[in-house]
Amino acid sequence: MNSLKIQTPEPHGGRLVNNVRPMAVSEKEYPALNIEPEIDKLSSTVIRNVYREIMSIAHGFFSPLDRFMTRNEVERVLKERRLLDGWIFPFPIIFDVDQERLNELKVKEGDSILLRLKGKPFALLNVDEIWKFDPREIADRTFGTPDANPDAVKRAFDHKHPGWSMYAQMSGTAIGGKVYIINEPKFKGVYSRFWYPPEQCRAEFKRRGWRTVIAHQTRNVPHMGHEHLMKEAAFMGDTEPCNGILVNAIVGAKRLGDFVDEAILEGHEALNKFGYIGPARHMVTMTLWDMRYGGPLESLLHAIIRQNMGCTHHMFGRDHAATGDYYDPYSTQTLWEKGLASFGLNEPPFDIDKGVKIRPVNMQEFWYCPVCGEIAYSQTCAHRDKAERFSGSFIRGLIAEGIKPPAVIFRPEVYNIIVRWWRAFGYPFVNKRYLDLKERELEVDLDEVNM
Amino acid sequence: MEYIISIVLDEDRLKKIRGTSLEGKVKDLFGGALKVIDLKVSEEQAKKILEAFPKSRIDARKHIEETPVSFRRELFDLLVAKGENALNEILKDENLSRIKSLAAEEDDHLNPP
Repeated sequence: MNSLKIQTPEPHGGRLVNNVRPMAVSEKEYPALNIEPEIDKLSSTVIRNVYREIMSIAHGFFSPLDRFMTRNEVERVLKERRLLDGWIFPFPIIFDVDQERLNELKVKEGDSILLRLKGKPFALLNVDEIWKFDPREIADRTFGTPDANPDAVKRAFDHKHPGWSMYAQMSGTAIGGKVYIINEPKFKGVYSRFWYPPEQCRAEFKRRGWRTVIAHQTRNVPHMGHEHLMKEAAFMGDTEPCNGILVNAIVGAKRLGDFVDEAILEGHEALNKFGYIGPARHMVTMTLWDMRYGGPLESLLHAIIRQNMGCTHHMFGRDHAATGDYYDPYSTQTLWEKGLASFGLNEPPFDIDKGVKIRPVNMQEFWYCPVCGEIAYSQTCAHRDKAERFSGSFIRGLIAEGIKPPAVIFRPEVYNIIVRWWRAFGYPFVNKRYLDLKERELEVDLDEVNM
Repeated sequence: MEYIISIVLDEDRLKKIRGTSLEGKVKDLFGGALKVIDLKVSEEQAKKILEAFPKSRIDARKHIEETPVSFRRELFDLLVAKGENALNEILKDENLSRIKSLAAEEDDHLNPP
């Protein structure tokens, strides 16, 4: 008989990838490529650094994916959102490379390339396949179009969308093959204490005695709406509320105007440090990923990452991981309720063969209700016409004007963290200067390796 | 279509409007934790604001948000000085072009509180 008690799910695909193999290699043995940040041609801002994908692949966040995709694999992902071995996966993960540079290196299939980061050896990439593609076509098929995907896409993607732009500006030449970290980067400053790759994260859950854990995706400093979402969603456990809440912040290149990563991480940490959500039930971590802002598709990647980290539940809100009005604001919830057939997902991702084993908790929104005199859930509070919403743009405006938000919007300790990083960077949000600095410095440093 | 710009009032701003007719227009938000004055914005005025400040946007509540700090500060000052006519005043070409150059600097640096 099946127990009602939910247990930690297996990793997606059945095993956690570990492609971290420290070794000393000689630059004479391998052709070498420097990893550089990728700049958006329209806005001149950084939109991607592929080192983050290498870190996430090698440490098992994307398990069972242990490689950059070949042409056939990308094709299967775009048609069915499945890897070649059948496990569902939402995005093409592509190592694109400048064709001229590739010619200079005289690389051919069967070779390996040494990838350098910040001038130091970092990873080895096996060249299983060198293949060509049309970046614009890949971008459209990755995110969908109103014609092909009317169940989710409301407006055609364009260069204002950072994820679409990222794919549309790829070089058109890609290398598919396994990637191994040979010189493990060390996290700097604020980042080091939030780095829990899946294996360590699962071990930490075990140490804490957490059987059921609900994941909270974030790219925001938490306001009271987020705090209530976390607290209320955590009541969905099995015979008791979830033992733990895992905040997993996406760290990487972001949209101008988003909060800076340092404030996001420490802002969430402040909630447990100051007891608003007790530290015995709350843990803050991060994943390295340059957000695609892919709405429902991004939610599927989030589910895979958090299942790999050992979570049993995942909360999804309105407009999950989206920007602009390209996707229907409830398309993520549609995906998790009945699937998105136009993307090859005829049923919810947990009901299909080789799907995910994490339970979605679809939540709508929390607002302040002046009639109830409290922060209320939109589906239980009946005073919709009186509701005062936690509008992100309103809150950003308030902060920019230097007006201290009241405690009903931000916990004072959380606001103090915003101000602390504002003083450090001269700006409260991501701007061009912050992105340039972040991509020059990155979240990590690397040691010299003796060859 | 009519839109709204909310001017948030901190202690300092509340002091400046004390005893004026603006005091009667103050609205409570979040149980009185925030005080605002809502200004009605016509379709034509909204168009002019969105054109002048491309980052500004209309949110789901039909509020015009993400206008530059310098715009909102000047709008409050004009509200105190000119009352209801503040919006027309700030949208005069000479005012807008001055605020636009101040706004350009805001993309790089904002003084912390």
